This record gives sequence, structure tokens and C-alpha cells, in this order.
Amino acid sequence: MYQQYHPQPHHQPHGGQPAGGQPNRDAVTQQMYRTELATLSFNSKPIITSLTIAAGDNVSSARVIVQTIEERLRTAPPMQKLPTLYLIDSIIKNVGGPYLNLFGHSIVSLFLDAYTVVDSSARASFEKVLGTWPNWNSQLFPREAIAKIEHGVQSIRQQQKQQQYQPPSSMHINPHYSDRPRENNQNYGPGHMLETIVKTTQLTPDNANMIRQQLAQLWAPPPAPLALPGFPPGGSSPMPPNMMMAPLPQHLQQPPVLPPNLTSAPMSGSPMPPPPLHFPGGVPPPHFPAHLQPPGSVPSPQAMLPGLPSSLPILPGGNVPIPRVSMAMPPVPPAATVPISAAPPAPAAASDLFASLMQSGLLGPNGSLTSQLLQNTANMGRASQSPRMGAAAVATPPMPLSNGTPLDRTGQNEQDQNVMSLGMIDLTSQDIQRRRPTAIQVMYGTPPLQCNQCGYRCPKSADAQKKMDAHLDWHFRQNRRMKDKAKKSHSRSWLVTEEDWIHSRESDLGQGQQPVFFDFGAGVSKTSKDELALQEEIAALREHLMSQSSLTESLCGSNNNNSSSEVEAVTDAALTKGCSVCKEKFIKVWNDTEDEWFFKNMRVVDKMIYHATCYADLVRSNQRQAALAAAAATVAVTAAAEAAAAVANITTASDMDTSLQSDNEPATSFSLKEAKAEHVTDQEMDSELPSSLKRKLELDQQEQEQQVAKKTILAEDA
Amino acid sequence: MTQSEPKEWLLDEENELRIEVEFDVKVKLRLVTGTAEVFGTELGQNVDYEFSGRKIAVFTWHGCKILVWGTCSVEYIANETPMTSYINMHLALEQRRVLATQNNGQGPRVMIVGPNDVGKTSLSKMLLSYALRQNRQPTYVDLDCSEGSITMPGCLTATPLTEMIDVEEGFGSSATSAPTAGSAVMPLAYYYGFPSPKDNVKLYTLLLNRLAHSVNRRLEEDEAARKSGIIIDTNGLIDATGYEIIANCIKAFSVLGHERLYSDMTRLHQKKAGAAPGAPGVAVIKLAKSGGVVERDNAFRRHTQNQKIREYFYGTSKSELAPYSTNIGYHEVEILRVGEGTLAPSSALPIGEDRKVSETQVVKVEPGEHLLHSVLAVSNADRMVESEILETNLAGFVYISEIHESRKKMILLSPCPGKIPKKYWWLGSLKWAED
Repeated sequence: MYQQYHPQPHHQPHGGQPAGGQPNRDAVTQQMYRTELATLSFNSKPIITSLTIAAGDNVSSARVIVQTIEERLRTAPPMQKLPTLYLIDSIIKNVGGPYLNLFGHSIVSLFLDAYTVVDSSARASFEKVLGTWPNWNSQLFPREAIAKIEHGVQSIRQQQKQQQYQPPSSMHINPHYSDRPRENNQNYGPGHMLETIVKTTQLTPDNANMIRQQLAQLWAPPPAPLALPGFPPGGSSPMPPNMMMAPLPQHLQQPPVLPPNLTSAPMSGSPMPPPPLHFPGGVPPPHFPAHLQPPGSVPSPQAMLPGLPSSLPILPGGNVPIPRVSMAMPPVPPAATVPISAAPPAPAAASDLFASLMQSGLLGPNGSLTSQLLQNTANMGRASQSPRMGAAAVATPPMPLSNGTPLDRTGQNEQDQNVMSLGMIDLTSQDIQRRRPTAIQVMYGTPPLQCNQCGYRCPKSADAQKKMDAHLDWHFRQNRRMKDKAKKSHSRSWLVTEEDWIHSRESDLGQGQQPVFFDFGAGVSKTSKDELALQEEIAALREHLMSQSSLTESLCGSNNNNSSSEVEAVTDAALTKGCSVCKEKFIKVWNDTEDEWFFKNMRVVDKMIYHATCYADLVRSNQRQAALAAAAATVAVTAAAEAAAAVANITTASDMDTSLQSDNEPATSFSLKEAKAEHVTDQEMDSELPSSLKRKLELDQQEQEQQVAKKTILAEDA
Repeated sequence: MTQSEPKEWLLDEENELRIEVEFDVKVKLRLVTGTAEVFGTELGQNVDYEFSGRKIAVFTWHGCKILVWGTCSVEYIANETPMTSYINMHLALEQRRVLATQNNGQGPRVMIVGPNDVGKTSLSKMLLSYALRQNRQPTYVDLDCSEGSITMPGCLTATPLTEMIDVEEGFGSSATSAPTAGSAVMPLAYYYGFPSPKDNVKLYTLLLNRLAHSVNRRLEEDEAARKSGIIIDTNGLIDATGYEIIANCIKAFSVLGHERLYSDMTRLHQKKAGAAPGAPGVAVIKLAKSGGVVERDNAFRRHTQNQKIREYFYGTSKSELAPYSTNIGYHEVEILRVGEGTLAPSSALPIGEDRKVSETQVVKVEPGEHLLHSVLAVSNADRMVESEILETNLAGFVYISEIHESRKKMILLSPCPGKIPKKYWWLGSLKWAED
């Protein structure tokens, strides 16, 4: 997440400030800055960039800006502290100057106070940020200050452990991690980042859509070994219109112009704008060949207005308004579910898009509105001469939706009509007393769609069933969490400040106040369907990217197989993919004696991860098959090993260099010591013992392990 | 409490089953056939609901059959209820909400006033539930500082509601990470610290205006909530000071208003009409008190209060919460209270003397033994500026469980782990003996 904030030379502030009217100016700047800062409620690169630039532009008001940011970091709800820290980081690295000194005064307490209250995953990010400070090109803060923070972080972690709180996760953390060249991680860096976001934050529908869009963009082919012509490097990060308050600096708004044949680009069904795409510093965004335009790339809303010059530049992955999803609306299905492989010429494309949008439930069977839309679209298609404008018209559908939710409106309208059909009830004591037999009907509805768990009645509307499903899902999650409550403790959090209360909506408030301790293992159970889908997409994406990268590597004959990424891949895979045999996720447990996190029952064999028990089963079954084939014991075992490798077929075929790996492992803090140890043992054993004997020993050991594991599980259940 | 033999109740149309349950008794209730609602929230069929220390009314529009397990101290069926007027009231409000949606205007704002124990809170709950049932997002403003439906007694709060009010838990647990069956709500709370608005009218008015200001600002931004309107619940205010406060409140929130003290209020508003042209269309409506309303004696109120405090830290049996115990040195916090010592009644002051100064004066309190068992309110303020700190909203509450005078430390119960975020704490009259 952090690496996105590496300085980019062209982000330097433009020009100085005229002096004069300082106190007054300060007040104005502060007010403006505070307002914009309030929008930084989730990790958003564009907002951070814009705030950084604003800070750079107002160096003369640095004092009040620093004050404002400090205030924000102190008062923001725990879930929102991290973005603010990123902002500080971005300012000190990109702007520097007076900010270094100003932040320097308070950074120790500022950092530590925030660190204390954030959850463990945010802590990891805090530590990452901290890790980049000492080795920065120029000195950011005095050594003593950084040392103090580091010391504080250590003691807080220590303290937490003693109190048996969930300590900050040390998974994937390496203080120097982000200082290393990013080339090797670029492929799944963003994916990983997204995943972390999905896992660690409760997403609002808007956020989810943004992420989805980001994903859509990442699905584009990875950079080819040879740079493709057409796109100059340099981040173009179009802003989602409703996320971005401040205008973007010019250089961010100048997108590379797309090759003209956009109409043949595959259209994704997703009408959401791609969120700001973060690319690791210095790494150019993927170069899209024209015919492989990333999905979701549709022109900016302005392009749809008839009368605009048709030569309007089109952003790659450009802007489309997000339909504002109402809180009552069920989660939008993943964008990937409505792909349109190839968009036919414009008007037809429009209706197609509509059809699939409606199918997917994005638009809903709201006939009147839809037909009106179609008409609009058609008109626009006619109005525009160039095929590109035709494509632009395709992007229109979400527009009218943005100001409300037609789905809701249908339901609401019917309800409203019922209410109004009673005849206006006067606000007089007499009229209030009058009996209205139909009144009850309004409250209880005609053919009721009612929840059998709580009596919730879904207001009759076109999407009642969907709403009811969402409601039942909610029950399911609640019940599950209730069941879990014995294991986890919940507590009441502090209330937000007045400003935050005024500006945040109910949904994010509730979610912004998530438990201080985020249970990583519970991520699956507590996330919504929507988020699960996202996680799956991310996992798929990562696999895709990894296979791509390995393909590229093998094509290039490149030998510098980066094992640190492999190790991380193992860890990541453990988190997302789970066991290669049973596909179940691993349970993360804290080992008090080792002071480390472990994956319960995990075992790494030939870069594949298994449950120790599953692996034992696998070996045994293979063995049995081999025995049936009447092979000798040694042959059988070898076959088993081969089969094991084949079953869990991972894309990359290159052998892992053991020595290289062990060099890298400490550096990446691959803390699964147990797994690592076993891995190494495997390799050593392979070379030293006769394989048959070795396998025998191993099987016995696994047998034991299995017994133990079963016992533990039984004991836990009891 | 799954006793073998449940008691069966058959209710006719528009009847109400009224039950009172003692604090240490659990009663289980199940709707078998028909429809029923408790304070506006509909009951699910064949779902078990558990109550303890509550006085509830199960009302049915269509008739129903209910099973009750356990012993209730009071249980009977009433066939005369003011529910017709209540639902009409709701529909009238709903119509105004529809109009507001059409004209892009403002939803109805209702203030419920009347003497103590006439069912004001129940009526607000009902109106809110009905609104929620129709997919509205009403804002609940609780000016009843004696009870504290949402956070703690002694607070003025505003809460945006989006989810159904839970039958068993009432208004739900504010700002918890716990899986609540009902609504998880995020209130905005200001600390008043006295049981009655009359105890410190100036402070009450100050906070009232501040609260109204914040709510109005929020509603400016939140379209759905603006169109859904506000339901304001108040203390029992029936004397001259009460009217003054009501008038203030109406001005602050631009209330639509309906009211039990019909004639008095109408009179007041005829007078007001000329004076406050900014308050358009204040309608005053008289609603009958439900026969089910019982007078709650002080013991019951005290008990409810204790239960509220307990719930704040420990949650309800349905969703338990884990508070954390930490210790803190005397020097790390600043404990404040409003007003200078005990206030003398205005009448006891020399003629012409104004006591306004002392009413809103912030006084520092030295930590010490006297804090033991107090519930302190943690202010969200970062700076000690007298004019600001009074109007700063609350971050939460802590309970002082032990005082170590010699070491100058106190041990306290905090709702959640970690450092207490702010250092200015309000001392009120709230005490609690943790059991």
C-alpha cells in the first residue's frame, strides 16, 4: 500500500506564494485544507497527492497545515489514521522544506499515539512507513526521533503481547521492504495492496466499486518484455469524480491519447470509473496494446455531452460517474460477471450493455427509466459523427442513475403512492384520531415478503427479493458472529468527533468504528459476499499475473528467479489460496513460545503449501495407487512424490534455489519458521537419506502429526 | 428460562398484551400466528424473544396468538389503545416525507412533549420504527437527560437510524464492534450531567442549540436523512421553565411538533407566531396517553439507569461487550465539572442578581477518593477553552473502579482497549456501583 507514495519528481510544487495578509490567509488555507482532509477517509492516492500538492503550494502556511494534519491524525477514527500518516509521509518526502521541521517537533508522539490505537494490519503499514524514514535519500527526521519511535513501537508491541491482545502481525513486514527495488513485485504489488485493503477495511459500495475498477485495470496484460509504442510512461490517474474534491494538477490530467480504434475495445460491464491506479514509484503503468484496452475504459463524462469536440482526448481507463449506490441497495455484483467480449458498433453496443447491465442487476428492470436512457443514448449516438463518440454514448447509462437509485425509487414510489392514497392527513388532533381501515394495509403490505427470523418486511418493490436476500445474508453473518463471540471479545468504541459525525454517513461511521483488533482469520466470515467476491478476483488476478510473469521470465530465458517473491507468494498463497489439496484456508495462530505467527498445520513441500494432514493423506493415497501397480517400494515413493507435485500444479516450473531462498528469507521476514524449517529439512533429507527410508520416516511423523492435530481439534471443539 | 408450560394468549384485532418483567427474571415470548409489533417493530413468527427488566406492549392489528414462558409481574390484554392515532400520526408524517422527497424539501420534525410517564419515549420509538419500516432514515434526537436511551443518562444525543430497532435491545448498542442483532448506531452526544433540564437551564439551552446546529448541518448533507425528518424525545417538561425550553427547542430544530399539552402550547404558539416568523407551520397535536403506560417509580428509574451504565460497558446478554481496565495517574487527566458547587435556586439569590455566570462556569476538580464509583464522561476536546469545551461532544465514558490516593493513580473501566483518547473528563452526578 505504501509504495505508492514514492516521490515523483514531477509532483514538485509549482511556484512560491505571494506574501501578505498572512493570518487571514492562514485561516482560509486551514479551512480549505481541513475540508479536503476530511475526504481522506480511506487510502486514496489522488486525495493524498492533491493534499500533498496543496501543502507544497502553501508552504507559507505550513504551520497551520501541519497543525490541521496533526489534528486530523489525532482525532480520526482508528481506521482512518493510516491514510493521514501516508499524507504526512508524502508531504515530508515530496515537499520537505519547513514541513520536516514542523512535523519533526511532534512526530514521535503523533506516530506512537496513532500506532497505539490502530489495528494490527494498519500497524504493519505504520511500521512499513517508519521503515522507510531512516534510509531516505535525505534526512527526514533526526535520527533520535526515529529511534524513539522505533523504540516506542517495540514497547507497544511487547506490551500488547503481554496483555494477550492480538499483537501486531509481523507477517510480510520488513522494515526495509519498501526500499528494495520494486521491479520484482510490480506484478502483484497492486493486487496485494488491493487485497490488503479489501481484507482490512470495511468497504462502502463506492469503495468496493473503485477497487473493482482498479482490478479491472490490472487484468490488462502485464508489461510485455518489449515496450510497446503508444503510451508514454508516467502515471495517469483519472479521478473518480465524486471522490476527488480538489482539481488535479495539470500533469495528472493529461492522459495519453488512445489509439483511435477504441470501439473495438472489449467493454467491461462495469460502468464505474477506474479508481486512481497506483503504480510503484518509477514503474510505468502497463502498456496497453490498442486492441487490448483495459476493460472499463470508457470516456470521461464530458465526452458524452453532444456538442463537444469529438477530438476530445480519451483517458485510458477514463472517467465514468459512479452511480451513487444507496445504502439500501444490495451489493453490486462484481464487474467481471458482465463482460462483453467485443463491443459492436455504438448504438447496438449501448443496448447490449443495457441488456447485460440489467441482467446483472446493475440497472434493474426499471423499464421507464431504462427506455428513456436508451433513447438518450441513441440520440447521442446519432448526434455524434465519429465512432468514438458512439462509444462515448455507451458510457452514458450510469449518468442519470447517479442522482439516486432507481431501484429504490420504484419501491419507494409504490410505497409513497400507498401512503398518499389515504388522502392527506391533517395535522390536527381530530384528523389524527380518525380511523382509517386502509392505514394498516400500508404498514403491512399486500403480499408480504417477510423475513422469518426477525419479522422484517420488505417493502413491495421490483427488487424486494434481492433486498430480502441481502437481509437474510446479513442475518447469517450476524448469527455467525454471534456464535463466534465466545472466542472474540467485542467492545464499545469511542465516539467520533462532531465534525466527523456531521460529515460521515451512517454506513461508514459504523464501519469506521470497527474493532481495534482486526481478526485476520475472521476476515472471511465477517466480510460481505461482495468483498469475498473481490478477494477471489484478487486471488485470481494474482495467479494470472504470476503465471504471466513466469511465462515472461521463461521466454526471456531469465535465470534471476526472484525467490523473495516466491517466498512471499507462498505466504500470500497461504492467506488466499489455502491448502493445495483441500483448498481450505489456513488458520493463523499465535505461538507464545516462538513469539511469532504460524499457520496452523501448514507444511511447505516443493513450493506448494499443504495442510500437514492433507499432505500425508495425499502421499498415502498416491502410495497406495503405486503399490497396486505392484511397483517396488522405492519406485512407489518416487511416484508419489511426483504425483504430489503434479496434483498441485503451480505455473512456474523453475526449481527453487535453496541457497538463494535461505538468503532471502530472513530479509522478507518470512516468519513461518515451522514451515520453513520443514521445507529445508525436506531438501536436506532428499539429498542425504535413501528416499524410501526418508519417506517412511516422514510418513510416520506425519501420522503422528495427524493424530496430534486431530486431538487438538477435538480438544478445541470440546 | 424454558419452562415446560408456556402461557397462551389469544389477542383480537387491535388488542395489546402488556407485560412487565422484573429485572432478575427472564421471559420468553413467541408469536405463533398472526402479526404483532412491539413499539412499532414487527415480531417474526415463531421467533423467540427474551425480555428482562422491561415493560413492554405487544400490539396486534390483525389478531394473533402468543406464547409466553416465564413469570411476568404484570400481564393482561387491553383492548383500548391509542394506536389508531399513533399510526395516523405516522402516516401523516410519512405523507410529509413523500412531499419532501417530491419538492426536495425537508422532512417532518416532530417533538414529543408531555409530563413524565406518559409514554413519550415509547411513542418516539414507535414513530421511528414505523419510519424505518418504510425505508426511511430518521434522526432520533433524545433530549431526555434523565434516561439516556442511546448512551448514558445525562446526555443530549442525536442518532441517525438506518436499521430496524431491535425488539429485545431497544435502541441498540451505540458504536460497538459487537454483532448486534439490532441497529448499531453512532450517536452524537453532549454532556449535560444533570437529571433534569431545570437543573441548569443555561447549559441545557447551550447544548440544545449546539446539538441542533450539528444535526442541521448533517442533514444538509444527508439527503435521505433530511427527508426522513427528526423525532425529538424530551423530558417531562410541564412548567414555565419547561415551556421556555420547549420553545427554544422548537426554534432550534424548527419543529413540526405535536404535543399533549395541547392548549398551553397552542397559546404559546399564537404568541410565538409573531415573534418568530422563522418557524413556519408549527402544528400542535394532542395525542392520548396509552392506558398501558405505567408510572415508573424512582427505584425503577434508578434500576434502568444502572442497567444503562452496565450495558454501556458490558453490553446486553444478547451481545456481550468486554470493557478494559486500565490505570491512569492523576496528572494525566483533567477532571472538570460545570457550575460552582451546588447551585442555589434563583429565588434565593439577591434581587437583580444573575446566576448565569456560575451556571456555565467550568471548574477543575482535583482527583481523589470522591471520584470512586463515578462515571465520567470523556470529552472530545483537545484544549481547555471554556467557551468551547462545554459544547464539545463526548467520546465516551469511563468508570472509576478504584482510587489509590497514595500512588496518585486511579483504576478505571474503559469501554475499549488502548489509551483513553482525550484528557478532559466531565464529572457529573452519575455514580454506579459495579456488581
